[in-house]
Amino acid sequence: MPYKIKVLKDKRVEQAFQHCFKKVGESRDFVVYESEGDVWISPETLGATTEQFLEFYKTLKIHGGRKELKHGQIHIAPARKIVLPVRLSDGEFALLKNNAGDEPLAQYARSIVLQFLQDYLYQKEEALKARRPSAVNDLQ
Amino acid sequence: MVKAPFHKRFDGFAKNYCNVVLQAEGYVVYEAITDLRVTAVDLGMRPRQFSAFCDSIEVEGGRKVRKGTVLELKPRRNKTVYVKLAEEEYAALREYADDQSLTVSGAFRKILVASLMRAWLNAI
Repeated sequence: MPYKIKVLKDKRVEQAFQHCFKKVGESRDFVVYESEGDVWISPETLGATTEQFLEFYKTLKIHGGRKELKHGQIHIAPARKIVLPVRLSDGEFALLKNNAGDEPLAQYARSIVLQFLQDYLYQKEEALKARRPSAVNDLQ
Repeated sequence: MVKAPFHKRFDGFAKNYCNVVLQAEGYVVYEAITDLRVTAVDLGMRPRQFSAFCDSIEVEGGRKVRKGTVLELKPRRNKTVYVKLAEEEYAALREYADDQSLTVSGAFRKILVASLMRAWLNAI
């Protein structure tokens, strides 16, 4: 399920959000955006001072996801309700720990797997697309 | 831990997946990081030779499974990492798992371990 973000109407925000969010609603004071993946927003993205940025953070309303302030940036992520247990040997666990560094292990593991899946599904879709026109040509 | 008689091809193969703990006269002790799958063809052995070689391998903290001319050495998986996923992420993983005829957790494990092993091989 995509999550929704409700923000106060602001031209700078609108400009910053147009590439990473899809606008799905608008009222006199608010704009509602929609997204699926993790998004990081820095004060520079919005062209805001630290106080303005914190104020913006407070006014952000997220439905079906969560927001947090991390390393001076706003991190917006979808709700992750499915818990998947992954069993590893001592050696695999040690490698994971070593590669992850300071990052939490589960987060690091998830980022590796999601990166792979993104490439895999993209290639799968491209392969299907490449097959479709030839099938049409065959019929002609 | 895998204790195996020294065999040049097996040694070359095992070093991609294991750390060498001890190299004594006639045998080598490896510390397996992940699953190791080796066939009689990989080792250039006849089935009977391969069978004898498999019998002489000792595994501690894991298990060995031989099916015909395929030997699998599997370290015990006694660590569990719990990963939280969003519905879309789970659906994408399930699609991959279905394509590969794996369980969802198995698919996650396969991708993760392959990436970790690539990084490890690049490092050594």
